[in-house]
Amino acid sequence: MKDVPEAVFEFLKDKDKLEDWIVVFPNTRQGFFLDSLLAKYGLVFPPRIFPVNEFWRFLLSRLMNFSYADFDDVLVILKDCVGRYIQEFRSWDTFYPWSRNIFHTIEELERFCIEDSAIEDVHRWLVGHSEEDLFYRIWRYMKEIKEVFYNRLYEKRLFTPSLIRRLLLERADLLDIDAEGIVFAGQFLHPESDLRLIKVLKRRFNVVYMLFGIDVPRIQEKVKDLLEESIVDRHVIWKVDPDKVKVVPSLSGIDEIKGAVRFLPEEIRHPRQVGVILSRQDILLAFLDELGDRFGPLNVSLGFPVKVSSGYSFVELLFKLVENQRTGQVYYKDLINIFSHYYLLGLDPSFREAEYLIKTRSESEDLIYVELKNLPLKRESLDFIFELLDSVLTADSLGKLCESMTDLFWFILKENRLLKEDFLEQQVCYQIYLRLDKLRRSPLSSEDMGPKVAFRYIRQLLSEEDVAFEGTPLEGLQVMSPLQGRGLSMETLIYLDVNERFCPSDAGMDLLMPDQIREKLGVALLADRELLFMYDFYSEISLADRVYLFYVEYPDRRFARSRFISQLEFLARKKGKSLSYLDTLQETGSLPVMDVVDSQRKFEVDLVRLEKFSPTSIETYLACPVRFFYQYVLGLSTVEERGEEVDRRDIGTLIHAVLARLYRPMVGEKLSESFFMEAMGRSEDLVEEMVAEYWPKEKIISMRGRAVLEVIKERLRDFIEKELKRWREVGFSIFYVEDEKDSFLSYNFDINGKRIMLYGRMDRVDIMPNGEYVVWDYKTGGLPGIPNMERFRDYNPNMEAGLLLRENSAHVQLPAYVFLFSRNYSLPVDKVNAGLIGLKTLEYKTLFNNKIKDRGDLLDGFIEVLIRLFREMRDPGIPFSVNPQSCSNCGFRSVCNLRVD
Amino acid sequence: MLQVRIKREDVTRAEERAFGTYVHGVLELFLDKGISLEDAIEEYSLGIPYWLRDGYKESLIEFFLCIKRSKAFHQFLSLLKGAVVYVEKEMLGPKGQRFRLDVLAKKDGEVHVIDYKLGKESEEHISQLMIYYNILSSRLSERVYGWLFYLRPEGSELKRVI
Repeated sequence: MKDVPEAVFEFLKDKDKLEDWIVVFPNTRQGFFLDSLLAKYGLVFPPRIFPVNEFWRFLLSRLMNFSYADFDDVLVILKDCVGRYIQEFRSWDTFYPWSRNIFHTIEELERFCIEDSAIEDVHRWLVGHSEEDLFYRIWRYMKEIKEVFYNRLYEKRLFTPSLIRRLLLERADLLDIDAEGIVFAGQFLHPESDLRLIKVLKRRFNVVYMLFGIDVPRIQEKVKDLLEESIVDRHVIWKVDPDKVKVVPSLSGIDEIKGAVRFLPEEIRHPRQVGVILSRQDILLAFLDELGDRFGPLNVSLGFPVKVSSGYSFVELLFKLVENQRTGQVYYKDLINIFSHYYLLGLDPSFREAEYLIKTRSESEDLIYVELKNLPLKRESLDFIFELLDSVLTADSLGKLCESMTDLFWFILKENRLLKEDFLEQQVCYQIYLRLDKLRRSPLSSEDMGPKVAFRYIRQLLSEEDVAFEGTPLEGLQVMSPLQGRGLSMETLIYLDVNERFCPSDAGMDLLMPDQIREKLGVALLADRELLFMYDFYSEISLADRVYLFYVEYPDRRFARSRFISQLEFLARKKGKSLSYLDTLQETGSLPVMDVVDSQRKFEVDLVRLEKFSPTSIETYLACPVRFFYQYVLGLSTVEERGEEVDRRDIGTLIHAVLARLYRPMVGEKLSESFFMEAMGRSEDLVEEMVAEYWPKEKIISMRGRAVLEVIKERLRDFIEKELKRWREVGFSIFYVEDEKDSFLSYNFDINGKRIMLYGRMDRVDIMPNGEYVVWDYKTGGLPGIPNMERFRDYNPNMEAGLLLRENSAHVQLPAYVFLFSRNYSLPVDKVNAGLIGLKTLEYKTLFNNKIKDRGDLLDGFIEVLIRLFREMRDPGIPFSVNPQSCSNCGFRSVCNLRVD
Repeated sequence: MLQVRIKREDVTRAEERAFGTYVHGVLELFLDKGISLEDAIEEYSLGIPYWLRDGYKESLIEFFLCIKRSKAFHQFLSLLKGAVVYVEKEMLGPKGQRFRLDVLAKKDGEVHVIDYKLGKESEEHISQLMIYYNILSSRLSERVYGWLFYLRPEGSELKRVI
């Protein structure tokens, strides 16, 4: 069975003037394979070969001088065009999150040659379905916006892919190309619009179209008209043969990678021998790491995503610093994070000293930026970094922000010693520098954009960047993304992550053109994108001799086994067979389960990370020392934390912020019935007001975001009502309410000559009529158990501290707060209590009840145990071991690779 | 840890290398379209990304003014006189790898391959030309010659190496 490069080779091999032919492939890899066939045949001057995207640009370059439009350029023009029609836009900040959708919608309308009348029909249809929001307004003026937008681009000779297509459809006759013929091979993008373009080009050139069918009825139907155009016999179709497919389930991503590497032969002799397709770009490094150098040269044609790099995390930290700053002061924690980052630590020894000094300052709660600058470290580079951070903090336009950031990244690039050893990260740093520099020089830089919006825009741009790998195309293992293996025959094809959302890839929801509107306009539906993916997937499966499809058994059902595996099962059953499954445990050997971080590894830990503990970090350790290791020592985040969906942290942040805003004016004031009544009345507005400040726009407008907000409003109303009831019963006044800049309490213990810090952040402190102070912590989920303080009266001193605390509910937050508050405010412990408020269950629980008369003694016992725990945690002889009982809800389960039933 | 070779951009030399690309681009236009060097610079400058345009055009003009005055440039033009000239022509290696020849000129049963170089002479330049020579001489019937054209403002040189 011929693959695409072989079919083209057969067609071209004996042509005179081969170098005057043009061949257009879906991407570059097919071209390399064709070249290898031509060279083997003894030819020296090859045809010109283009991947399809470059081909359109090439054609246009033969028609006129032009620049390929960059989104930075397009955005300014688009904003101007949208502004003409939507004067009443409240804030341009609303525009930026939507801009990409508006642009893509205009491009799709153009690509499918949608008539103006059809666009107007959509607007008329929407009148009955939508309120007067941005969505409605955009469609109301879409026809005009599109026309003005393209006219402006045309005037500036800036071209988007759809504008290139339009011009080629209109002016193909004028193309100044001297070619014997053009071969389009092995691809379709949008059958209807492709067909139109081919027909136009045929009027001017000798166009040869080659497309193969695949014996899947839905695909056959879709490409029927294109096959009519193809010179390949339309009865020659690629056969999907489930017999050669083996499915390999895996327990985790790491297990899958290890398993895949075990299927590789000892030696890779030629490029068609093995292809590995990674459905997820973010596993590339782990895969390459597992390969090591055993397989010689590689051809890696997918990039390393900047989004998962240290450079990107540094940008995120800068963003936090800017976002959280208040009147020139920054949060201690934000600054610590920046100083602890690899990008600064590698600069010179003064940064490590600075990090140490910041971390060990006892009065950390009011440590502010200005003070930090006065630390007794006066090295040149440190001062320079402060200058650069200052300029990032005070930047008032996108241009200025980019200018400060490019200076910062350039300085890091040149001066960071660690970066010089880590050339992938060095490349990332350079790419970020280049992207920011480009943005700085773009027309967008003079746009009036607030720092938060500017940072979000930068973050969006950087999250789309990849660091390209340079491969050796005609040698070794071929490592590809899903679409890069299409139309190529490989002896062995290993496909990783054949899971939903990756394969087929999740196209995501289109905010401006949901399927209902697509259907009305006759534009490709989301299902059509899936069909295109399906065509490529089956072309890869059909042409390979052996196929291994790996999928991971993720606990989250959204990432279930791919529908393609079910289809293959169905195809096999139709042939009276069944699809073969390999047991990953037997065939590949399971990964060693990581149930313990051994002593050796613990020695390698940067002990600075074990010098500062919060109640949450201690409780994480008590729940599972290995989870503590991942989260607080290695600094890993869970999938949930990385996700873009509204999650419990967003809900918690918002509720805390609203309650703080509500109660702060009442600190030291007398509470009254009218305060609570008024609070109930304005709580909804306050939620709306605060959400704009605390959540990114995309979360607010998401369906889930809106639904969650309604629940939050309801819960807050109920809670204030409950507070009123409690106030009527017991009477209390507000002593303290959390504030962004000074809400940390800390205390330093001297443990074996080392200062170990315990710190915590209080939500609220009330004073009760009997003079007792109660430190409250709001909980948005269920309430944990309260420790029995009596257990610290006469505890068994031979028992491990961890075990002792675990046996006593493992909840250390409340006694820690009582300790911190009494020390920091110099109050006797008998006057201090701590408690939890369940916002969901509307419960109040306190640590001490009135019967306990010797709070001080009990707390002393607790602190002794805590100090012993700190010693145990820092003892390299005691490994971090997994607590299997806490695995079921652990976000790091896949890292450990423990199977939990 | 990472075992594949990454496109390593030596950050301090990035702009220098970009300049080399532009010099090649202008010479391609000059020979391919048969226009003057000044017009070629003008035309090529349009294609330089706007964020790198600052000062580049001026540097290119200054650079080519020096080249144009050199003896080597006149030798180069005489070598091409009467020849069928291919600019930036691609050629296949034995395994199918592509090589781009700066200039390939055919005349009087001879084939001349000319490679532009910026900076100092090096053994690598000769090795590179030897690869071209081996491929062409094994597949073409004509006699093949290899030239290195060192483009320097302070003294360009056209050297026959093979």
